[in-house]
Amino acid sequence: MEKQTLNKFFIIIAVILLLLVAIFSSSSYSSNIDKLSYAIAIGLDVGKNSSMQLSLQFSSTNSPSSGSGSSQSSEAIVYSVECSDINDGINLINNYLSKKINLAHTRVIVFSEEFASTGVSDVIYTLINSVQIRPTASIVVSKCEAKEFLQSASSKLEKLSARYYETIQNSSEYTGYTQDISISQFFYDIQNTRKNASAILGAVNKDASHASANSEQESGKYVAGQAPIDSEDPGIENTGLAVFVEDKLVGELNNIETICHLLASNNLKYCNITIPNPLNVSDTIDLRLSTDSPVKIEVNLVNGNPFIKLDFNISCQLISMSENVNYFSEENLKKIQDAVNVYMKQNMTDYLYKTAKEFKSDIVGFGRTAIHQFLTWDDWINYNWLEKYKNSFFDININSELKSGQLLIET
Amino acid sequence: MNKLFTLIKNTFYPNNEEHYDFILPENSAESVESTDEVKTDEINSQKDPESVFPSLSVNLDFLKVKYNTLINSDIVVREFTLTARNRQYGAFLVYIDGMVDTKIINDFVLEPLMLRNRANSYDGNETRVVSEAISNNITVRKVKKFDLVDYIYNSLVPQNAVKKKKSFNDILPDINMGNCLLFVDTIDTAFSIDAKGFKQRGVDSPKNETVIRGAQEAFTEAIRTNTSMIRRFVNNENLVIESLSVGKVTKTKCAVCYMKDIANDDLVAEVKYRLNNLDIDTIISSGQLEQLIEDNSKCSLPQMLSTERPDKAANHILSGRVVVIVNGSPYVLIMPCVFVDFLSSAEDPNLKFQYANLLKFVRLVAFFITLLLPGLYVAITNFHQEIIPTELLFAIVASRESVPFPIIVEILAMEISFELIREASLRVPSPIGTTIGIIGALILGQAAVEASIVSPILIIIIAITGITSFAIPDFYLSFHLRIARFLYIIAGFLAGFLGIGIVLFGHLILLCSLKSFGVSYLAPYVPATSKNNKAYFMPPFWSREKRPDFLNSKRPRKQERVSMKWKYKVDN
Amino acid sequence: MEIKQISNFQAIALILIIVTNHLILGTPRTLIAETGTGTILNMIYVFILALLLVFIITKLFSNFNGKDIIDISEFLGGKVLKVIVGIVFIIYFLVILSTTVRVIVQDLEIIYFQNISVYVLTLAILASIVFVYKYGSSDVVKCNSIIAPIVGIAILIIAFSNVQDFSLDRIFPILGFGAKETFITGASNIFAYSGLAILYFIMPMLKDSKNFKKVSIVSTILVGILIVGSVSSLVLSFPFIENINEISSLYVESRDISYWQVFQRIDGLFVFSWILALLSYISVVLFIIVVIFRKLTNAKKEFPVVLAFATITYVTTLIPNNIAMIRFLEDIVFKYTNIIVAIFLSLIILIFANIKYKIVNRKNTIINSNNIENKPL
Repeated sequence: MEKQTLNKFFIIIAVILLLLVAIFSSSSYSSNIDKLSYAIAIGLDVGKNSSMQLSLQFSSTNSPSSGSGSSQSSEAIVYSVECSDINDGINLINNYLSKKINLAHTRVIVFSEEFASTGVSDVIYTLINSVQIRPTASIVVSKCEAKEFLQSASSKLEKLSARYYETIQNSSEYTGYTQDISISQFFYDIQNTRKNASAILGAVNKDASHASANSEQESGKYVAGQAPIDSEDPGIENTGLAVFVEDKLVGELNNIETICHLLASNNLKYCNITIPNPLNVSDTIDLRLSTDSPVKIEVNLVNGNPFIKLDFNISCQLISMSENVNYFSEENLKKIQDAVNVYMKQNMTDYLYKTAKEFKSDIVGFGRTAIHQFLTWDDWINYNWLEKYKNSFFDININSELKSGQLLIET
Repeated sequence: MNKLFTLIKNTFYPNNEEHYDFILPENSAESVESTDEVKTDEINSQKDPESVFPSLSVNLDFLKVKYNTLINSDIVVREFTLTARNRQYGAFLVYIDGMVDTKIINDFVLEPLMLRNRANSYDGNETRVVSEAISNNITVRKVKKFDLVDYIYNSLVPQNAVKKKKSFNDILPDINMGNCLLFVDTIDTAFSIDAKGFKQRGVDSPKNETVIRGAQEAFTEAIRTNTSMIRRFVNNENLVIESLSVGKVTKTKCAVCYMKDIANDDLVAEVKYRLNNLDIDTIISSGQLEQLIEDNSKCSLPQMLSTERPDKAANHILSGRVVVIVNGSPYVLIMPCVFVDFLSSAEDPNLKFQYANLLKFVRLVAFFITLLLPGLYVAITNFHQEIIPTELLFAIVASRESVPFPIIVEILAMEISFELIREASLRVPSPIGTTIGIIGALILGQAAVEASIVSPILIIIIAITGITSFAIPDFYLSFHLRIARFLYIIAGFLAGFLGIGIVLFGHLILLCSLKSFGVSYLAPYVPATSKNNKAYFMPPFWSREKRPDFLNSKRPRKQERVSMKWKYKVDN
Repeated sequence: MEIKQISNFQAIALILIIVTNHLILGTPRTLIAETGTGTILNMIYVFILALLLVFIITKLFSNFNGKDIIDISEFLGGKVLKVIVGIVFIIYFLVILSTTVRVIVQDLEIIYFQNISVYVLTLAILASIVFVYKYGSSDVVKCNSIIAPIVGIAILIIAFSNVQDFSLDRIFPILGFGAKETFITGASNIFAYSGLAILYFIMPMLKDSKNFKKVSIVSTILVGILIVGSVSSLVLSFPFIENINEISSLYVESRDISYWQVFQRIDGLFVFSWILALLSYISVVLFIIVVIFRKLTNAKKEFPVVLAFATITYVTTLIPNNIAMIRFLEDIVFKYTNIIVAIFLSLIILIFANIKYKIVNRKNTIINSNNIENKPL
């Protein structure tokens, strides 16, 4: 290439590069990874002086002392501010903090009970509209203040606070005491014509909340915060579900009711239940439940009111064992199965009528089966399922099978 | 006291001695106005005579002047008398000392020419009568005239390679190459006798392309050794090795090798056309030749393979490509080449197809990592932080807590220092080579992290990028990737995934537009021609039935459908 | 260099890239808003309609081997009709191109580049396309044949990564808004297949005219799989709610993907593939526009035409001011232009051209037979 064209070439490249740098340089520095602080959890309360109190939990990153780089500590760092709406609050905290707040790694969004009863749809819509929020973040309704909930969210077993939130949601898979509900599910359920929304119910488990337990505690039914656990520093506990109608909180479920809810909506993986021992009245036996096949739901419209028939197939595994007993003889087997059936049917019936009569909220989602009866969308809208749900009747049939124990079959 | 004074004076005052100052003066020829085109023709031969003179003394004087024999210490001229047909002719030999084998000259050139050789002596009484005609009592006989040239050529020089040369344009290169030239009085032909005996490096094992299970021979600098190695591997009479010379001053010998019944004729013609139409002075290595005959020299992608292994060259000749060997360079050029050839190593045809495909997959992954990893890291940490899993993100943030620079400065600094280490390690004298390696890589890196100048995550990224760039078999392709990587880093910094996407798109277009000797660079994927073309991932050996489609060879099929006849009986 | 011939695979890739870009836009949302929960049934019905349409088109083209629709309109109505049809198609492609570019760049700006304005982003993208075009259009088509399958597979991955959220109940009530809305007015959903308009122009460029039928059927099937797959996954993952209107449904769906709780929010990688798809799309549509323009005007060089049309595209891209106008363009202008120009206009031209061909043929055979009769014996 001749010298002149080579020079021209370089000049053009330099000019283009300068232009590009000038155009794009403004954006990159402020959103650099060093300049951002990541909020792991958001908490919303009813404010004393204004409409809401926003709390944000951050995880601190320890500066490496030995130079090998460690990550977060498990102390919870919570900032709260009184504000009129969520973006306003984030702005105020942004101004206060040195780094820019980024909500891309938020795991949990907590509403207090008070706040949830006044209606959450504004907040939810704003959050879903935001580009940063993950649709897989969980929604928790807390019985205590959201700020207190966030401040207690740490544990000696977990070093990383973000993972604490993840694992505590996973615990629902093997206990069945609550369900992991994400903000996108919640968002769709708020306006869904087929079902109502529900959220995780959480609370701080401290001695004060133990005292509010009542006789139900003896039969093993707890709401969040009531489990009589003794530990050095009180932590959070997610048990039960919060029930919504449209976007307002109307009630809550305890742990056994949540098991029934999961069974009915086909989301149960495993859970443990304790039933009175049919062979020895003063004793109890423990069983591990799981489902063989999905629940069969039939919805018929009788005089315009729903008549819902449910058929459950549960398989049980015997966990507890006592001496001198053979649970697997034919007679005993049948007794135990009947006991399970009776227990579950009682609880299931109580639960379903509670949702229908007391809460008037179809959180199980029977509307999804009811819609099969309609051919066009307008028919469905005109029927207005969510209003008609409170008049529904249930016919429940539970068929449980005791498959096995664990290591011992007979003692 | 005086000494102190002198010391101060010498330290602080300028010396009055004159410094030895040499400046290169301008050439008087260059001060002429039109300096654009210096005719290279004029350098060599202004008034060179074309052909050999019949007179010996004129030849001798011409050669003495030409070769500056008074100054040049290694040009030898041996004058002697040659006896043929009982007549004596003056003669001389001219050769370059150190390039000829003197034993050959003594035994096979000087001895038969100088000593009387009775077996071939020729009395002169025998004249060969060709025909005889008698008419009118006059006998006319046609007698075969005695031809000294033929006599010397056919009978007197028992040397296996002798050529008759008439023109000085051919004679001078021959002397330079190591032949010995014989000039005889009264004839205008000189004899070029091959008596080469210069010392050269023996056949060694390949230094840069080592394989575990393949031949361990490598090309050397002498062109005849290289061609002999290829001949032995190909072992077929259809292998053609044509010789050309490139460069007006050095007249470097190049050999073009191809299979006459497999390679495409147009391809061979194009190669020879390009080689023959180079108007340059010198060619020293195959690297220089590659830059002169490639299709697109502005682009930094290599368009020809260069290898030092004869088995790899033979494999490619047998698939229909053309190999060019340059005298003096142990690397030969293979053309045409497509992109996937640069990611294949010499070992792949020798291995089972499962291992070969695994290695190819690993190399492909290495290719993408070395090109894109730093750019993606910059783009993701600046624009798209939500992709990173939360715990990893906190680890990155924690490790960057006390680093003062933004990520782009860190990455550019580390990349440049990695390149510096690479360059420096090429020239480190071997006794301290390993020590420098440990110091440079481990301790410096470790110390930099502890001093919080860079973050440890970045060290890992740069190290992975560097290691994967060595996994690419072809040296030139990894050069290209090193250059392109900087572009991706800048693009990722400026505009995140959009910048990287735009640069990647441009890169792909560049790849699609390249051609290597008429073959599209991304063949056989783009344009997708026949379905049966398995280019990158190789099927088992017994299923590689066809030669590559894009070469358009004369013999597309190289195996029958059922090649293992011992295993499968085919009904005809 | 300029392109002379394209292979089958490259032709199919041309059509694929156009359809994938329209899927990124907001076409799924328009489709679902039209037919509600009956969308899946409607999609299958529209797919069969599209196949029929393509069969008819190949049949109608079979009389005119090696000619594209501009040549056919010249045959039908002389130079006047040729120029009119050419201009109509150029305007059509410009409208589609500027709408798509504006929507996708606006989405990018909302999601990632809030500090940079749309003007600059569009300029950067269009400038790089023009810069790349100096290598010639054959490289653009080749590069497109690499990018199109990758993007198609990425869209299918998004569609089926959410499989655990699928719930068959969401397709009820099956008839959506009603049988009439699903099948009769719902037939307007065929605008999703508007990428097939390219078929009208590739005939002269194919190596062998017999491949036209194969190319069109294969591309329709592939396009159908993409559209049906992605729209059904949208219907099955999210319950149908009438008033929700989001920017890009596939993007919203890709935000939900999570693998093992570690790899969440990997939508950035999909956006990367969509950026490549956008760049390829712009170059392909510019290529078609240039082909039409050069047919009309016999321009010798390619690059100035590309530069001119890229500038026009840039200017038209910046006309809409806010998202309401963009939505209007997307829902109404885009949809109806597609149906009118890509489907009806071309069909009409083809049908009339075939009729004229038959008439001319019949006249010719009569004249020939007359000539044979009148030949002196």
